[in-house]
Amino acid sequence: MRILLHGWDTSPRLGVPEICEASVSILNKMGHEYVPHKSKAICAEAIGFLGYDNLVDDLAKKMVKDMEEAVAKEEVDMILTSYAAPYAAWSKEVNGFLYKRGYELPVPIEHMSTFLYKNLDKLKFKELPMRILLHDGCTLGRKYGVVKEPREVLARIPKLEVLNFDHPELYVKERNLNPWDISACPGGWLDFTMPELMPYVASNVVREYAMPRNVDAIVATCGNGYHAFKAGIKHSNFDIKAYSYTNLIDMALEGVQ
Amino acid sequence: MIDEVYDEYVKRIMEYGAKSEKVRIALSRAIKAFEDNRRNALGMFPHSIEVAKEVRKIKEYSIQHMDELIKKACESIERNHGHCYYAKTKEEALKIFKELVGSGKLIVKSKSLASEEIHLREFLEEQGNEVYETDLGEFIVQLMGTRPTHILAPAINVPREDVAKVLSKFMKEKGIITEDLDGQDIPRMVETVRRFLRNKYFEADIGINGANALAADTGTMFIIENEGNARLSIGAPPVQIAIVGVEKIVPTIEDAFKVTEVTWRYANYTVPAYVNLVSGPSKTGDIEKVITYGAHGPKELHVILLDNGRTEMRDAGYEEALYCLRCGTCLYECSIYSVTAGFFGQQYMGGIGAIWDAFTTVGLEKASPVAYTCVRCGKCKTMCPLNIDIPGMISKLRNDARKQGYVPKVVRDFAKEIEEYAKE
Ligand code: SF4
Repeated sequence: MRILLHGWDTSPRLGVPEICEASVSILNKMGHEYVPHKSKAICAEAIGFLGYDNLVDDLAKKMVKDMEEAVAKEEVDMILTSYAAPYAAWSKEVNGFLYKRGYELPVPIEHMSTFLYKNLDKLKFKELPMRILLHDGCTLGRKYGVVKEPREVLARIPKLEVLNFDHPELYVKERNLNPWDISACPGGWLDFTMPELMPYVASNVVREYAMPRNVDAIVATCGNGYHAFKAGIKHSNFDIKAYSYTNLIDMALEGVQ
Repeated sequence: MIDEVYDEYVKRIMEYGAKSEKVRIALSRAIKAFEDNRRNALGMFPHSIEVAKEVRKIKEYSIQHMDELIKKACESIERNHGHCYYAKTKEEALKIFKELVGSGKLIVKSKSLASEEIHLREFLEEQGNEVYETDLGEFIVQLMGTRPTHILAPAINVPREDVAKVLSKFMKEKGIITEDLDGQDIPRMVETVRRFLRNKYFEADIGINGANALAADTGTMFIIENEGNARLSIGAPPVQIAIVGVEKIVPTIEDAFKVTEVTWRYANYTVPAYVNLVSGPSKTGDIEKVITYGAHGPKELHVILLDNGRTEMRDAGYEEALYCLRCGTCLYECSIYSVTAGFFGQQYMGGIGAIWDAFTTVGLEKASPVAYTCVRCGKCKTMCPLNIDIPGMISKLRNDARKQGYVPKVVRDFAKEIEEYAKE
């Protein structure tokens, strides 16, 4: 398959380079072709909730146009992202915001976790002796319920111990709360609205939820969350790692069978 | 102008909130205790989870029919020999207070967010009255000269050691104690405040209270508390004045019971020590059935129903914000609040507070940075007993702010980049 990364992933302003590199590495190991894509495209829903509903349609149209051009030129089969918002906006499968609004990308979009899940039986992982705390991206988990896919893929990695973002004190069985309902946000969006506050918020989430569980790393299914956790850990000098879901998978993935 | 407002707000939230280890530690302790208590309360009384769904419907109806419920509540209060007033604005409410209170009075006041919204204590003090907040947290905040940082626990960000310091200074001046209070001895701190305030209730000319719910059919106010200060403020002075936001009115007394039950359960109580129900002034008919007012409690009851932007809030499409029970759950659940306390807000707090600030206290421009502090992660909505769509309203508020030119520069610049890209 020829696969294009979403503009959010590759944008110099937004994307985290190590996530891009890990995405490319995963695609190589799986035998897919990565098609380079430089674009400022962000998910149009995001600009709406930043207060610019007036730009949503223009941006959505522009992105569809950009993607159509790229797809036609490069003969792309699929668009891939490691971020929650673009997937949640465009995905037909989760009835995303922009899809609901009548916009459709020319080829399907997948989140790294949904993409890997669809290829689950082919994936070959090496051992990864590590204890991690899994953080479901707020949009991906709480809002859109994409929670089974990341877990089932991680479950295939030998020696990887995955802890949920549980907080037993919150549980009252009658409320039917799940780990992704109660997971605490590290404040990735503050990077766009109040950047100086983000490391404080993220480091507190690490301190309150990850440190007491003696995990080696906190792993976020959304690139934005990872970005925040990384900043929080650095800020407080914690002896714990942050990984994006994509980076963690890349560490364990050997190839496909 | 918005950029100055934003910078000032960011400076405050960072300096007093995020960078303060004291705030972080105090909140970490408080949040753990809250979560534990709430799990216990809802675990013991799980039916509250279902009642919350009913309460959502009650609130939907009440806010939709706010105008007629105001009228009905007023009629009920008057029927019970209370006096009812409707204040459209903060200024109107303060004018009513000025006329009722005058100056030179001793006033005991229990916790009321509506009163804080209009800066009532400060106003009454300016009029030459001596006013005491009687809720312990509010009392500490009053002595510190700061502002409440949680809607239920106003001094949540103040560690015990600091409470001891501020109480020691004040109580020594007042001759209540001679030695400094021990920073770890919380019971002694509480006992000292009790000794100081005890006589004030009985010497006071006026008691002021808020309410968690007001039943329109009976005119009954429901006031939840644990300390016993509200019942003393309500019951001991000869005059009682209540200030109640119009969103607190529900059609019936049964509805009010449901509203208050859900409020206290989600506010982490199995059952509060006291739920005060007040429908009119104190009265007796024990001598030949001749009704006489002012038997043991207040002879006069005045109820001021405060609008102050609530109708505008509803009509502008933010009606869900008016369903808020002030249970405090969303603050305790918020990652941002956990490190910033009430500095995430202007007068009200958190994401829900941004809406309230925009309409009832500081206006949209000053509420805009608060709206941009919220990350819209949605945990508040999930955990809220009424499932109030705070993230949805935050987006709407940001859009309203944009239309008025109140978007902070950091966001404006980003949006400009995006706009240029969209036009390419
Ligand atoms: S918005 Fe919901 S959770 Fe927050 S204080 Fe109001 S009722 Fe409670």
